[in-house]
Amino acid sequence: MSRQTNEMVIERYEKAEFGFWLYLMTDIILFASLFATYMVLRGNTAGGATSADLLDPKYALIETGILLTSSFACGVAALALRFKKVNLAVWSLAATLLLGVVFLLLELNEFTQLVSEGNSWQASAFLSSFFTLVGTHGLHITIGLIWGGAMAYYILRHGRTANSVRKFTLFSLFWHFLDLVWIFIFTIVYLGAAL
Amino acid sequence: MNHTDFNRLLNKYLLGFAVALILSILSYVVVTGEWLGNAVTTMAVLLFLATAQLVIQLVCFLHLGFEGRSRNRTYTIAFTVIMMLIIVIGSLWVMRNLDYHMGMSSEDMNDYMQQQNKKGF
Repeated sequence: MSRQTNEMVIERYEKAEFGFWLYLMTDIILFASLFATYMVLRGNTAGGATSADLLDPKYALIETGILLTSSFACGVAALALRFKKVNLAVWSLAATLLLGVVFLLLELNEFTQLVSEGNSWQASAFLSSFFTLVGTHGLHITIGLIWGGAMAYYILRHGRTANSVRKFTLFSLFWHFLDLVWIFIFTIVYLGAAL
Repeated sequence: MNHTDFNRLLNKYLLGFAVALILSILSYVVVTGEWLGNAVTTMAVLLFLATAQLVIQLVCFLHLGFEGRSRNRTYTIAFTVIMMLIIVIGSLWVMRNLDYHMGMSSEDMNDYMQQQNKKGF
Protein backbone atom coordinates (compact mmCIF):
# COMPACT_ATOMS: atom_id res chain seq x y z
CA MET A 1 0.00 0.00 0.00
CA SER A 2 1.39 3.41 -0.89
CA ARG A 3 1.76 6.00 1.81
CA GLN A 4 -1.12 8.07 0.50
CA THR A 5 -3.71 5.28 0.44
CA ASN A 6 -2.54 4.18 3.88
CA GLU A 7 -3.30 7.67 5.22
CA MET A 8 -6.70 7.57 3.54
CA VAL A 9 -7.49 4.27 5.25
CA ILE A 10 -6.48 5.69 8.65
CA GLU A 11 -8.63 8.75 8.02
CA ARG A 12 -11.60 6.50 7.20
CA TYR A 13 -11.04 4.53 10.42
CA GLU A 14 -10.98 7.73 12.43
CA LYS A 15 -14.22 8.86 10.83
CA ALA A 16 -15.85 5.51 11.64
CA GLU A 17 -14.70 5.79 15.25
CA PHE A 18 -16.04 9.33 15.56
CA GLY A 19 -19.32 8.27 13.97
CA PHE A 20 -19.69 5.49 16.50
CA TRP A 21 -18.89 7.96 19.28
CA LEU A 22 -21.75 10.17 18.04
CA TYR A 23 -24.09 7.17 18.27
CA LEU A 24 -23.03 6.76 21.91
CA MET A 25 -23.85 10.44 22.50
CA THR A 26 -27.41 9.85 21.25
CA ASP A 27 -27.59 6.88 23.62
CA ILE A 28 -26.78 9.28 26.48
CA ILE A 29 -29.87 11.28 25.52
CA LEU A 30 -31.96 8.07 25.53
CA PHE A 31 -30.76 7.18 29.01
CA ALA A 32 -31.17 10.79 30.20
CA SER A 33 -34.88 10.61 29.25
CA LEU A 34 -35.29 7.31 31.09
CA PHE A 35 -33.49 8.69 34.18
CA ALA A 36 -35.72 11.77 34.14
CA THR A 37 -38.82 9.54 33.91
CA TYR A 38 -37.60 7.40 36.79
CA MET A 39 -36.84 10.42 39.00
CA VAL A 40 -40.29 11.88 38.34
CA LEU A 41 -42.19 8.62 38.92
CA ARG A 42 -40.16 6.97 41.68
CA GLY A 43 -42.59 8.10 44.40
CA ASN A 44 -45.73 6.96 42.56
CA THR A 45 -46.05 3.44 43.95
CA ALA A 46 -49.89 3.21 43.79
CA GLY A 47 -49.97 2.03 47.41
CA GLY A 48 -47.61 -0.85 46.64
CA ALA A 49 -43.99 -1.56 47.53
CA THR A 50 -41.56 1.38 47.44
CA SER A 51 -37.99 1.45 46.12
CA ALA A 52 -36.69 1.16 49.70
CA ASP A 53 -38.66 -2.10 50.18
CA LEU A 54 -37.54 -3.73 46.94
CA LEU A 55 -34.04 -2.64 46.00
CA ASP A 56 -30.95 -3.97 47.76
CA PRO A 57 -27.87 -1.69 47.55
CA LYS A 58 -25.52 -4.52 48.57
CA TYR A 59 -26.66 -6.68 45.63
CA ALA A 60 -26.18 -3.68 43.33
CA LEU A 61 -22.69 -3.05 44.74
CA ILE A 62 -21.68 -6.61 43.76
CA GLU A 63 -23.12 -6.03 40.27
CA THR A 64 -21.18 -2.74 40.09
CA GLY A 65 -17.90 -4.47 40.99
CA ILE A 66 -18.47 -7.18 38.37
CA LEU A 67 -19.31 -4.74 35.57
CA LEU A 68 -16.39 -2.46 36.48
CA THR A 69 -13.96 -5.41 36.40
CA SER A 70 -15.43 -6.47 33.05
CA SER A 71 -14.93 -2.94 31.69
CA PHE A 72 -11.31 -2.94 32.93
CA ALA A 73 -10.64 -6.37 31.35
CA CYS A 74 -12.06 -5.06 28.07
CA GLY A 75 -9.64 -2.11 28.18
CA VAL A 76 -6.71 -4.47 28.81
CA ALA A 77 -7.84 -6.62 25.86
CA ALA A 78 -7.98 -3.59 23.54
CA LEU A 79 -4.53 -2.50 24.71
CA ALA A 80 -3.02 -5.98 24.34
CA LEU A 81 -4.43 -6.29 20.83
CA ARG A 82 -2.88 -2.96 19.83
CA PHE A 83 0.51 -4.11 21.13
CA LYS A 84 0.27 -7.48 19.32
CA LYS A 85 -0.13 -9.53 22.51
CA VAL A 86 -2.84 -11.75 21.04
CA ASN A 87 -2.85 -14.31 23.86
CA LEU A 88 -3.40 -11.69 26.56
CA ALA A 89 -6.07 -10.07 24.37
CA VAL A 90 -8.02 -13.30 23.96
CA TRP A 91 -7.91 -14.18 27.66
CA SER A 92 -8.90 -10.64 28.73
CA LEU A 93 -11.78 -10.72 26.26
CA ALA A 94 -12.87 -14.09 27.68
CA ALA A 95 -12.83 -12.56 31.19
CA THR A 96 -14.79 -9.53 29.89
CA LEU A 97 -17.52 -11.71 28.42
CA LEU A 98 -17.67 -14.10 31.38
CA LEU A 99 -18.10 -11.22 33.84
CA GLY A 100 -20.67 -9.66 31.51
CA VAL A 101 -22.69 -12.89 31.50
CA VAL A 102 -22.52 -13.08 35.33
CA PHE A 103 -23.74 -9.48 35.54
CA LEU A 104 -26.65 -10.20 33.21
CA LEU A 105 -27.63 -13.34 35.16
CA LEU A 106 -27.60 -11.39 38.45
CA GLU A 107 -29.85 -8.77 36.89
CA LEU A 108 -32.25 -11.37 35.46
CA ASN A 109 -32.32 -13.09 38.85
CA GLU A 110 -33.33 -9.79 40.48
CA PHE A 111 -36.02 -9.17 37.84
CA THR A 112 -37.58 -12.65 38.12
CA GLN A 113 -37.60 -12.36 41.90
CA LEU A 114 -39.40 -9.00 41.72
CA VAL A 115 -41.95 -10.30 39.23
CA SER A 116 -42.59 -13.54 41.14
CA GLU A 117 -43.39 -11.48 44.27
CA GLY A 118 -46.03 -9.59 42.33
CA ASN A 119 -43.92 -6.47 41.76
CA SER A 120 -43.85 -6.54 37.98
CA TRP A 121 -43.76 -3.51 35.66
CA GLN A 122 -47.57 -3.45 35.74
CA ALA A 123 -47.79 -2.87 39.49
CA SER A 124 -47.04 0.87 39.60
CA ALA A 125 -45.56 3.81 37.71
CA PHE A 126 -42.43 3.49 39.85
CA LEU A 127 -41.92 -0.14 38.77
CA SER A 128 -42.68 0.63 35.10
CA SER A 129 -39.99 3.30 35.04
CA PHE A 130 -37.57 1.10 37.02
CA PHE A 131 -37.91 -1.87 34.65
CA THR A 132 -37.66 0.38 31.58
CA LEU A 133 -34.48 2.11 32.79
CA VAL A 134 -32.63 -0.94 34.15
CA GLY A 135 -34.03 -3.21 31.41
CA THR A 136 -32.80 -0.91 28.63
CA HIS A 137 -29.33 -1.06 30.15
CA GLY A 138 -29.61 -4.87 30.38
CA LEU A 139 -30.64 -4.99 26.72
CA HIS A 140 -27.53 -3.00 25.79
CA ILE A 141 -25.44 -5.46 27.82
CA THR A 142 -27.04 -8.38 25.96
CA ILE A 143 -26.24 -6.81 22.59
CA GLY A 144 -22.69 -6.06 23.81
CA LEU A 145 -22.22 -9.72 24.79
CA ILE A 146 -23.32 -10.91 21.35
CA TRP A 147 -20.99 -8.36 19.75
CA GLY A 148 -18.13 -9.42 22.07
CA GLY A 149 -18.69 -13.06 21.18
CA ALA A 150 -18.49 -12.17 17.49
CA MET A 151 -15.26 -10.22 18.21
CA ALA A 152 -13.74 -13.25 19.97
CA TYR A 153 -14.56 -15.40 16.94
CA TYR A 154 -13.07 -12.78 14.59
CA ILE A 155 -9.82 -12.48 16.55
CA LEU A 156 -9.39 -16.25 16.92
CA ARG A 157 -9.98 -16.69 13.22
CA HIS A 158 -8.05 -13.75 11.73
CA GLY A 159 -5.56 -12.97 14.49
CA ARG A 160 -4.25 -9.47 15.08
CA THR A 161 -4.91 -7.43 11.94
CA ALA A 162 -5.53 -3.72 11.39
CA ASN A 163 -9.19 -4.63 10.95
CA SER A 164 -9.48 -6.55 14.22
CA VAL A 165 -7.86 -3.65 16.13
CA ARG A 166 -10.29 -1.18 14.57
CA LYS A 167 -13.35 -3.35 15.21
CA PHE A 168 -12.26 -4.02 18.76
CA THR A 169 -11.78 -0.29 19.45
CA LEU A 170 -15.45 0.32 18.69
CA PHE A 171 -16.52 -2.60 20.88
CA SER A 172 -14.42 -1.37 23.81
CA LEU A 173 -15.94 2.13 23.48
CA PHE A 174 -19.42 0.55 23.73
CA TRP A 175 -18.52 -1.63 26.71
CA HIS A 176 -16.87 1.20 28.71
CA PHE A 177 -19.90 3.37 27.94
CA LEU A 178 -22.27 0.78 29.44
CA ASP A 179 -20.27 0.80 32.67
CA LEU A 180 -20.57 4.62 32.78
CA VAL A 181 -24.36 4.36 32.51
CA TRP A 182 -24.40 1.74 35.27
CA ILE A 183 -22.56 4.08 37.70
CA PHE A 184 -25.56 6.39 37.54
CA ILE A 185 -28.10 3.57 37.80
CA PHE A 186 -26.23 2.35 40.89
CA THR A 187 -26.13 5.83 42.42
CA ILE A 188 -29.58 7.18 41.57
CA VAL A 189 -31.70 4.01 41.57
CA TYR A 190 -30.10 1.66 44.11
CA LEU A 191 -28.32 4.02 46.53
CA GLY A 192 -31.15 6.55 46.14
CA ALA A 193 -33.54 3.81 47.32
CA ALA A 194 -31.61 3.35 50.56
CA LEU A 195 -31.69 7.05 51.48
CA MET B 1 4.77 1.24 20.25
CA ASN B 2 7.17 -0.61 22.53
CA HIS B 3 7.14 -2.37 25.85
CA THR B 4 7.37 0.76 28.05
CA ASP B 5 4.45 2.29 26.14
CA PHE B 6 2.39 -0.78 26.90
CA ASN B 7 3.23 -0.63 30.60
CA ARG B 8 2.50 3.09 30.78
CA LEU B 9 -0.94 2.60 29.23
CA LEU B 10 -1.65 -0.47 31.37
CA ASN B 11 -0.87 1.59 34.48
CA LYS B 12 -3.41 4.16 33.30
CA TYR B 13 -6.09 1.45 33.13
CA LEU B 14 -5.07 0.07 36.54
CA LEU B 15 -5.25 3.55 38.07
CA GLY B 16 -8.72 4.10 36.58
CA PHE B 17 -9.90 0.72 37.82
CA ALA B 18 -8.61 1.25 41.37
CA VAL B 19 -10.01 4.77 41.71
CA ALA B 20 -13.41 3.75 40.27
CA LEU B 21 -13.62 0.79 42.65
CA ILE B 22 -12.75 2.96 45.66
CA LEU B 23 -15.32 5.61 44.66
CA SER B 24 -18.06 2.97 44.23
CA ILE B 25 -17.39 1.44 47.65
CA LEU B 26 -17.13 4.91 49.19
CA SER B 27 -20.57 5.93 47.87
CA TYR B 28 -22.01 2.65 49.20
CA VAL B 29 -20.50 3.26 52.64
CA VAL B 30 -21.69 6.88 52.72
CA VAL B 31 -25.27 5.61 52.34
CA THR B 32 -25.29 2.44 54.46
CA GLY B 33 -23.08 3.90 57.21
CA GLU B 34 -25.41 6.94 57.35
CA TRP B 35 -22.41 9.28 57.59
CA LEU B 36 -24.54 12.28 56.68
CA GLY B 37 -27.90 12.39 58.42
CA ASN B 38 -29.60 14.51 55.79
CA ALA B 39 -30.91 12.77 52.62
CA VAL B 40 -30.40 15.84 50.39
CA THR B 41 -26.77 16.29 51.44
CA THR B 42 -26.14 12.57 50.99
CA MET B 43 -27.60 12.64 47.45
CA ALA B 44 -25.44 15.67 46.59
CA VAL B 45 -22.32 13.83 47.83
CA LEU B 46 -23.36 10.70 45.89
CA LEU B 47 -23.80 12.66 42.67
CA PHE B 48 -20.41 14.29 43.21
CA LEU B 49 -18.77 10.85 43.69
CA ALA B 50 -20.55 9.46 40.59
CA THR B 51 -19.41 12.44 38.50
CA ALA B 52 -15.83 12.03 39.77
CA GLN B 53 -15.96 8.38 38.72
CA LEU B 54 -17.38 9.39 35.33
CA VAL B 55 -14.48 11.78 34.72
CA ILE B 56 -11.87 9.22 35.89
CA GLN B 57 -13.27 6.55 33.56
CA LEU B 58 -13.56 8.97 30.63
CA VAL B 59 -9.89 9.89 31.00
CA CYS B 60 -8.42 6.47 31.88
CA PHE B 61 -10.64 4.08 29.88
CA LEU B 62 -11.96 6.20 27.01
CA HIS B 63 -8.82 8.36 26.72
CA LEU B 64 -10.58 11.69 26.45
CA GLY B 65 -8.41 14.78 26.39
CA PHE B 66 -7.77 17.99 24.50
CA GLU B 67 -4.98 16.79 22.22
CA GLY B 68 -5.10 15.26 18.77
CA ARG B 69 -7.76 12.70 17.96
CA SER B 70 -9.68 12.83 21.21
CA ARG B 71 -10.47 16.56 21.06
CA ASN B 72 -13.60 16.25 18.91
CA ARG B 73 -14.90 13.49 21.17
CA THR B 74 -14.36 15.64 24.25
CA TYR B 75 -16.28 18.56 22.71
CA THR B 76 -19.21 16.36 21.62
CA ILE B 77 -19.55 14.74 25.03
CA ALA B 78 -19.41 18.15 26.71
CA PHE B 79 -22.27 19.30 24.48
CA THR B 80 -24.22 16.08 25.14
CA VAL B 81 -23.82 16.47 28.89
CA ILE B 82 -25.36 19.96 28.62
CA MET B 83 -28.31 18.48 26.65
CA MET B 84 -28.62 15.73 29.25
CA LEU B 85 -28.76 18.21 32.12
CA ILE B 86 -31.42 20.27 30.31
CA ILE B 87 -33.57 17.14 29.81
CA VAL B 88 -33.20 15.84 33.36
CA ILE B 89 -33.36 19.09 35.35
CA GLY B 90 -36.00 20.52 32.99
CA SER B 91 -38.24 17.46 33.37
CA LEU B 92 -37.96 17.48 37.15
CA TRP B 93 -38.68 21.22 37.25
CA VAL B 94 -41.72 21.03 34.96
CA MET B 95 -43.24 18.00 36.69
CA ARG B 96 -42.65 19.43 40.18
CA ASN B 97 -44.34 22.63 39.07
CA LEU B 98 -47.28 20.72 37.58
CA ASP B 99 -47.63 18.73 40.79
CA TYR B 100 -47.73 21.97 42.81
CA HIS B 101 -50.46 23.48 40.62
CA MET B 102 -52.67 20.36 40.90
CA GLY B 103 -53.90 21.83 44.18
CA MET B 104 -53.61 18.64 46.21
CA SER B 105 -50.62 16.92 47.77
CA SER B 106 -49.16 13.96 45.94
CA GLU B 107 -50.37 11.63 48.75
CA ASP B 108 -53.96 12.92 48.33
CA MET B 109 -53.60 12.55 44.58
CA ASN B 110 -52.39 8.98 45.03
CA ASP B 111 -55.42 8.14 47.24
CA TYR B 112 -57.78 9.81 44.79
CA MET B 113 -56.35 7.88 41.83
CA GLN B 114 -56.68 4.60 43.73
CA GLN B 115 -60.33 5.35 44.59
CA GLN B 116 -61.03 6.07 40.94
CA ASN B 117 -59.20 2.91 39.97
CA LYS B 118 -61.40 0.83 42.32
CA LYS B 119 -64.54 2.25 40.72
CA GLY B 120 -63.30 1.01 37.39
CA PHE B 121 -62.78 3.13 34.33
